[in-house]
Amino acid sequence: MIEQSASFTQRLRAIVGDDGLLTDPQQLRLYMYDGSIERALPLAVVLPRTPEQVAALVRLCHAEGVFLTPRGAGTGLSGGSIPLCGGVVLSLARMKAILSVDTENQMATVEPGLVNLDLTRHVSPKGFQYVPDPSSQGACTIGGNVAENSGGPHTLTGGVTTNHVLELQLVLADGTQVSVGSQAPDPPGPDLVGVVCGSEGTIAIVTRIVCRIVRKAECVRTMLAAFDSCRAASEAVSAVIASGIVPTAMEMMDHPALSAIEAFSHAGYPVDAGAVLLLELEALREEVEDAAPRVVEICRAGGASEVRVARNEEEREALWKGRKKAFGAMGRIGPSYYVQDGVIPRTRLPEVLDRVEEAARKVGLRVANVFHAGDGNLHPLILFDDHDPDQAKRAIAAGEEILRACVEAGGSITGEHGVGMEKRDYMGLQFSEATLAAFTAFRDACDPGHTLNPYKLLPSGLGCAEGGKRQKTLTQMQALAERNAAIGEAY
Amino acid sequence: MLADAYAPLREIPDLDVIDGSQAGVFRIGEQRARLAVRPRTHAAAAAALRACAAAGLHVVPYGGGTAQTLGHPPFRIDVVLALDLLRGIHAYDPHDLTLSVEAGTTLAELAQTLARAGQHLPLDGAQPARATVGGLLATGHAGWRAGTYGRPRDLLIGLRTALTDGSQALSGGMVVKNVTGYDLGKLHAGALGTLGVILRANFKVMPLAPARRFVAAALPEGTRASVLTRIDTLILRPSAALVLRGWEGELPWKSGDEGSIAVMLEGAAGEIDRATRDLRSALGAAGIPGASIFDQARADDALAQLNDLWGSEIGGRSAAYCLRDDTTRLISWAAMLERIAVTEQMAVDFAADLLDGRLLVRLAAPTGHALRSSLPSCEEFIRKEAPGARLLHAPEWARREFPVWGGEPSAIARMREIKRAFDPAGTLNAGRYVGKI
Ligand SMILES: Cc1cc2nc3c(=O)[nH]c(=O)nc-3n(C[C@H](O)[C@H](O)[C@H](O)COP(=O)(O)OP(=O)(O)OC[C@H]3O[C@@H](n4cnc5c(N)ncnc54)[C@H](O)[C@@H]3O)c2cc1C
Repeated sequence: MIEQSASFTQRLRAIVGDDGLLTDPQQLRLYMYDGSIERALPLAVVLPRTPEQVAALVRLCHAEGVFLTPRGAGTGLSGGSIPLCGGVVLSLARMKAILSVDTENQMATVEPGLVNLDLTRHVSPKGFQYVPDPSSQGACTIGGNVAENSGGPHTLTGGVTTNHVLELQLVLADGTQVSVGSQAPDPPGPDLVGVVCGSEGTIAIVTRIVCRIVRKAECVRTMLAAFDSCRAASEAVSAVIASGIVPTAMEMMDHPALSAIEAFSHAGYPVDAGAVLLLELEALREEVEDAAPRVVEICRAGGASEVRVARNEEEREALWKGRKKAFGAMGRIGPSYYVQDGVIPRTRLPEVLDRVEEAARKVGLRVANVFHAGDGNLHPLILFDDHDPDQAKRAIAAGEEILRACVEAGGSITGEHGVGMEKRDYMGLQFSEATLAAFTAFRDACDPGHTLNPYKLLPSGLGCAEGGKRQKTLTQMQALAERNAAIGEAY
Repeated sequence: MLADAYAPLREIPDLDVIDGSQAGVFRIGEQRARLAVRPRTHAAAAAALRACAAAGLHVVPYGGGTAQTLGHPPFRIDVVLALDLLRGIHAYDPHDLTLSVEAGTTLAELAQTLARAGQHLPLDGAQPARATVGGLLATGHAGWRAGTYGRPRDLLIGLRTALTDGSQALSGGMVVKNVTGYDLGKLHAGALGTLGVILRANFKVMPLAPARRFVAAALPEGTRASVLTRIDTLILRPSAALVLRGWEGELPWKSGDEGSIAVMLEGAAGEIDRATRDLRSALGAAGIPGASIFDQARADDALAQLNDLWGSEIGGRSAAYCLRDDTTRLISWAAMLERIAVTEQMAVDFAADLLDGRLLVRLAAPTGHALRSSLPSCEEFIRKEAPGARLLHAPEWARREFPVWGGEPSAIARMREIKRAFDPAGTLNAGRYVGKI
């Protein structure tokens, strides 16, 4: 066994070189985590530098039946890049080049490990931007964004990652390299770009991305409106939409969140408010000048005690600073937080926010809300002490209750953070057995052995229509997991 | 024996079975259906599909019949599954900017509902009075505003499909952002009904722009090339911008020596006024003197006429291609095609999408017979220069012989696996899609 595993690591090393392979337990420990509350230790971490190396690694793991988990920056919030069943973590962190920028055709070609914000920084002097802007954009990678189909505050009008990806170079589960989508519109064949986006590393590894970049708007106006309650702020959101104005961003922060954020980033937020809305309009001057006063008026009519409009770029950045660092600020009010990501039709915001509050109260925990109100995408942050197993359990119970509330309101259990390992067993709340069977059939068609990021995205257990078949897959996977564990004994 | 194969269909509740000459109204290119079924419920559609798959019958899903000449001719047509009874708005709350609609609803009907609430779904189809939502999604058709508003896949947020095992699968939902599970809806959008039958679709919708203006101008000799660069620097990105040539009698404005330019502007009133001044001065600088202006409903009509060009056939003697390239190269493409059409004695009409890098070209011969003799050399030329060109419509012989979808994509093997996973017996639209999937 040991002999075999030694040869396995040697073969990994042969592909990525000495400095591309981590096996030291100390180093491996850094890859146990992502932004979620899940943990698991890999057997080895590889850091390839080229798509060819990625392909060779996937071929090797495929042939040996070793699990492989792709990883970007590890900022994911659903345990997506955690090597649940051991195996090899494939980090794309060293593939981070901007390969080309074509402003005439408004596209850029980048490697998957490129940090999201680095692309916008790079094209910004030319007057362009990359639209999807997760709050983690200073750290997360574009490859990770594709895998999660990430959104951000500006996706209300701008769309999420899938709307900005034109072509992908992929390494499939058996190690073959293909390109899907195209720089020219409407490539033939089913929309594989569309299904790879949001597939959480379970059907292919993304090794190159051609994405859209767009011209920055002529005029941007950012404003903050303070309300007595989340209900009043939610109603203002609906009223703005009803007036025919769709701001590029409508973000909400509730009272507990505001106090934490203000203590952390001194953004000048009104800490006494029950809730604050951050709104942004982007368009040509006339449209913004027409819409901005109407938005102010709607907020006032909806009971806003204060509406602040940023007068310049500096003030605008100040308004955004607090929001962008909101999750980090939670440390001010609790040792740890468990964030949910359910999404609901936006008209249901008031009632579902009440249920969120209720869910936390029921288990004796506090909750803060910082979220994409325009999209109806909630981010309740359930505050708990991660050293207290009972609190952790209660946080998870409240989380489940919140997801139920979202589904019952006609929504979905995740809007942008992904299912990962964290929400896979809640899939049944939202989807029928037939639908789950279709998901499984699709996964089986792409990765029959489930070697790519196993046990993610699909329900882990039985009970769906495909019970028999899943059980077989599970048994196979358990056998593989044992094998992975055996290989791990070498370390 | 065949009669027996059809028998289970007659047992399915809520399923109208039409045969004999009545079924002939459903036409797939030059072929007529011999038997059609019209489900009244999703369950009936799914049951019909399962019954067909079990009996080894080949099924062609059918919306408004406006795009049945797309793709290769099907290997065999046993049953047409017509979705026209599954129609209507399933759910719509304007404040949520989302809508759920049955697959057989026509685009016109949908547009009317939305317009009453001051909203729209900016997915343009040809012949909206006949074309259905399901058909638009299955073909993935992108009208002239796609470069700005996106394609069906971009605005689709949820989908219900019937699969060949008789189950109904869902993906997405009624929320504008959603990453729960695989986004299988995207897979169906553009798959020409080869993976499942679209039953109901959910979209995000948006407010209709308060001001809509359509500007068209004739292009005098020597202006076509320069107009292109000017469009690129307009302050307001138009929602559609085209250079056209030909289409006699199909467009309500005059054409010059080098055709015409058409631009759709949408936005706030003040914005549109500035954008119009900006556009006029760009046209003036390119040597283009006057322009016709159509506002509001008339602008919508002009745009609709442009979108109808996608489906514009001249009975049995025309073929249309869609070429994809950098916008900067489209015009030289058009010029090349004009030349070859002259040598082959064909009429050529084209529309170049300046925002999205596509060229719609229609080639027409004096007779079907003449097309038979001159189209192959045009096809050869186009394939050589633009292997990815898609043949949008043509007589059946051409769609049988030519690589309608362009070259095979590098992921074709994976596409076949996916087809096998969803439609193992090859029941749906067999042979029509990429790689004759
Ligand atoms: C403070 C904070 C704020 C956040 N805000 C937002 C937000 O506003 N919007 C939002 O959508 N998300 C947000 N997130 C979540 C997270 O940042 C995103 O999901 C991000 O896209 C993950 O990128 P990553 O590079 O860190 O990927 P990782 O966490 O490393 O991986 C995420 C998933 O992608 C897979 N993966 C990574 N790279 C590849 C690849 N090249 N090919 C195939 N699969 C791959 C992994 O296997 C895993 O399943 C936030 C996270 C934090 C910590």
